[in-house]
Amino acid sequence: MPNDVESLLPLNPRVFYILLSLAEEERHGYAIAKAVETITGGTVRVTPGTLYPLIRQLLTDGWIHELGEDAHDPRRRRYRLSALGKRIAQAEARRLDALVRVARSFALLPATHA
Amino acid sequence: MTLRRLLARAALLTYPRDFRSEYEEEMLADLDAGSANPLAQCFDLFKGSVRMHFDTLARDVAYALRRLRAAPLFVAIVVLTFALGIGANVAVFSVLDAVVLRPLPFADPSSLTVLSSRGPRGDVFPAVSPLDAQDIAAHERGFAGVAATVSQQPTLLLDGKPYALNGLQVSSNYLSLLGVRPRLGRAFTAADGSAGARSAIISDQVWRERFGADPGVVGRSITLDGSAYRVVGVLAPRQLLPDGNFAGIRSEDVLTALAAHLPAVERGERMGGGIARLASGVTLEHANADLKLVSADLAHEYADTDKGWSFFAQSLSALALGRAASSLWVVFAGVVAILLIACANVGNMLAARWSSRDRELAVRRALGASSRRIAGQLLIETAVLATLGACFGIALAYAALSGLAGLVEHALPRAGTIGIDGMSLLYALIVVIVATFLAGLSPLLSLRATDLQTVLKSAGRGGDGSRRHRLRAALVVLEVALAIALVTISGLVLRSFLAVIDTPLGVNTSGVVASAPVSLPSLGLPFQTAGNTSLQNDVLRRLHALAGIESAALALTYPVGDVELQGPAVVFGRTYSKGAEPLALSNAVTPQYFTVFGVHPILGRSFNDTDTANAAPVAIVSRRFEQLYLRGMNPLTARIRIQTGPTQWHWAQIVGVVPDERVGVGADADAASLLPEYYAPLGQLSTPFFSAVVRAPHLDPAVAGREVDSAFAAAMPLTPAPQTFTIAQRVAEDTRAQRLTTILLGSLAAIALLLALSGIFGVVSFSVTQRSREFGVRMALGASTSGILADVVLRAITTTAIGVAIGVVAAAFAARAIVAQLGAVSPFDPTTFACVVALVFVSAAIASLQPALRATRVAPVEALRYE
Amino acid sequence: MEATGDPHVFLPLSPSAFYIMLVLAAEERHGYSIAKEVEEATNGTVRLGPGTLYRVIKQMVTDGWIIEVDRVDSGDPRRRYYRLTSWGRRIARAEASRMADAVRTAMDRRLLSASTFA
Repeated sequence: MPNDVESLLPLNPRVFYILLSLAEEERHGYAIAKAVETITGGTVRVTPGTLYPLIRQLLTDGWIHELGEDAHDPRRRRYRLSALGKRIAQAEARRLDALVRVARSFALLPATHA
Repeated sequence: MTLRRLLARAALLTYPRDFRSEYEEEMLADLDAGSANPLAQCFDLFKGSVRMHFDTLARDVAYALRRLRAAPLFVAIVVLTFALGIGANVAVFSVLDAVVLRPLPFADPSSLTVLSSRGPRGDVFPAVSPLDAQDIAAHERGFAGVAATVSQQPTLLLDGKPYALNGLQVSSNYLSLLGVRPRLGRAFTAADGSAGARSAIISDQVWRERFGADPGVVGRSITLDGSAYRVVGVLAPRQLLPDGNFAGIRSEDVLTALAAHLPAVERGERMGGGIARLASGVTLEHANADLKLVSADLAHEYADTDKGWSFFAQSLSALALGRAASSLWVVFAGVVAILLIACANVGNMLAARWSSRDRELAVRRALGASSRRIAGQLLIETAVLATLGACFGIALAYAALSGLAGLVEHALPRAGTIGIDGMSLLYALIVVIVATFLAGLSPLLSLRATDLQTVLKSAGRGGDGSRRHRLRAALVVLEVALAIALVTISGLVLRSFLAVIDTPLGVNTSGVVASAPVSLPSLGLPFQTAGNTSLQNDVLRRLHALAGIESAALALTYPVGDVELQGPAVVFGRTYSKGAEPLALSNAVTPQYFTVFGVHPILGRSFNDTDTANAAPVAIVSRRFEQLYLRGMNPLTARIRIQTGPTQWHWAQIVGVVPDERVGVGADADAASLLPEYYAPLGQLSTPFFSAVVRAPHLDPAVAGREVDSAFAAAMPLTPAPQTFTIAQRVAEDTRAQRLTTILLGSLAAIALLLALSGIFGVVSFSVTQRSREFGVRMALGASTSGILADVVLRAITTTAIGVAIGVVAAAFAARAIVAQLGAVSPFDPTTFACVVALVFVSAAIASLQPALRATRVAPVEALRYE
Repeated sequence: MEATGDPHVFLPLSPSAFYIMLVLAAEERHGYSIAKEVEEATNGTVRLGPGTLYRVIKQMVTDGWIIEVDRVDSGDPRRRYYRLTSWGRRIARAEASRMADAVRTAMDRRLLSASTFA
């Protein structure tokens, strides 16, 4: 099972951040964008023109599920990570971790990252 | 509605509808909450939309390619069909663009006209005498300027070697009137037009070939026709210029300035041309109305030369390009028709393919794909096929244009500029788009009409199919008819062409090499008999001395030569009414002429060395001449009148009769008959030119040609050596136009045939698909494979037969219409008709084979399932 | 020509770009050796075809992230070697930091427990 997930890597970094932001809790689109901004300290931003096409693709591929309208704001729909999406996010995290170790060995990063 | 919302909504409009219906609200809400400036947001939305469309397109193309890879035969046939239709269009458009559509390379070409003369008998030609041109320039106010031209063929003497050039003598305003600037140096000025100035401008090709592209050539002195000229400029490469006469526009090797007063050219000699530019605001009609008055004045003032003559102006582009334009537009209409047929065929094939997969598409629709989406994907599939077809088509067009370049060069003006360029590619793109819609739309529409339920329950029971199917079958019948007609006509034309090439000339032409006419250098007086005779004897002596030359002679002309001379056939003792003397071909030859062509006199003798200018005048006639004009008398006692100079003649005793020789080849009736001919000894005439003919059966013709050239060069060092060729080469040159027509017609016929076959393939495929259930049932009930095969193929043959019948009738009518061009070949030649019909039936059977095989492979169980 | 500014503007990098910069961080290499090293470092999962490889390399040279170095190799004199510029190194470091942060976030969110890492 893990093998076929591997073939989907590497992920578009923005996709990974979307999955990551949904790993914590269900969110609607705007909240996802805000979360990504927070996680990356403002380095990576997902604008609506990019976000919603990606969300639709993730829905089609079955990496996230749609949950119906948001309680507070009926205009928005909420999404959550699917089991497949979670496995993919984990695989990508493992891949990134391996890369980070290599980067450390090449002195691109200090031995323990502050 | 805030600005932010307005911009955002506008940008969101570019997203696909189904996406918008789901996400538009959320996106707008996000944008309101966001803090980025509205313009940046709008731009980001656009970017997202473009990326989305692009991704969708890329995915659809990949999907289409994947599906197409599964049906290679189908793809091959459709791509070939498109390639033929699109390729033919691109080829013809390239020609049309280069020859007709592109404006002439002059300033404001639409205002340029050619001065022309109309004679008292109504004959019209594009020429005026330079003196008339001058007067027109002076009196006609509708022209912004007039330039006179006189064709010339000067000899350039360079390092002691003579070169023949094509040139134009022009008035000093010629280049500035056209708006043409030389690449080096300058154009002529008024000073160049003064007597004794002798200025020349050479072409880029002459500059490179003769002067090694030396930039110091400007200011150099060159020798043209024995006089010194100063080079003042070099033209741009491949510069085309109007010669004011029949040639329209072409390239010239050298331009020399016409002296302002022209002693050698008479007013009555309409040997020159005039180019006139209309003044701004003046129309051609207006100028011509004025010219009528000017003509009347001139006719009155110079009554002895200009009485009864009038002058008018024709548009330069119409004169130069008009004839080519009308034929090319007809050809263009033809290839557009071919494209429509090709698209109809592809439409048929697509309909067969898509409807057989109705189930897959219906299921996709049930799963939520919108009809629009599916339609879009199917159109993309068509577009991919059309693009592939266009790529092959462009390659085919390129090959065709390159292959025909040599033939087309002589048939069309500006042929040298024909090629596949940016405009051709742009046209190809437009054609691909049009073809995609033409081919894809009809099957798409019939697809939408299919009801989901009906399809799922009983695949292939297409009730709607039969009417459409009949229409499609009717179209294929027409295509077959067209193909039959075209192939038959081109077959007949081909046979006629082959017959012409093989025309027996009545003489033995193998091993004969002839030269083009060589003009005798003017020695002050045009016909100085004594001087010319010694020159001719010198050439003859050298020719005889050459190794490998069996026999050699000089003559004014020879079979299939460029020159055809005619003269009155007047027999001593007969009376003729004034102006009603019969005509015969005439020639003047040295004694070995008949030996060169392997001809022996039937009666009497040939010429020999005693028939000199001082001896008694003699003549030889052909058998036809004897039959027509010497009936009832012994030919060896008759005398005929021979012209020996511009105003001299004498009575010559006939000393021999020779077999007939055919002097020209052609498909028309004229050339089919033999004309009477008479010969005089070359030494007894004064002539301004002559040719050499030699018999060298064991020499390679190129080598023999060089030997002949060397003889001329030794005897006449200041005259450029003439071109030499074999008779076969001359025949090929003379039949060039016919060869081009044969090839074009043949190509058109081949395309029509291939399209008809692909049409048959398409319609049979479609029919098999519609009847697949029926085949399944029959096979389940025990029908044999060969039985089903026979059924399908026979049905195809029957449809074809209707087309064949119509086509044969059409071909017969068309053949009768062109019977004049077919010469000896009968327009109802049975062999040709039979071969074509057989060919079409056999290929139709083959074309229906694959669908027929498919019919036998329908699984009976599957077919029964939906019963 | 050493660029200055904020390397974070270029993040996130495409995976191919980062892989190339990563192997160049250790030593200068030529094209083929870069592709091989990437393949080894990722246990064969990431193979850079010549099309992608040279397209990205060319872009990075233009942007000043790597430079070409002339080196005469005993085997094949035609090889072009590449090296990270200091600007490129800063960008690679920023990307590596970003990835490290992402991994830590994954762990913090308990999406991924420490045990998911082999």
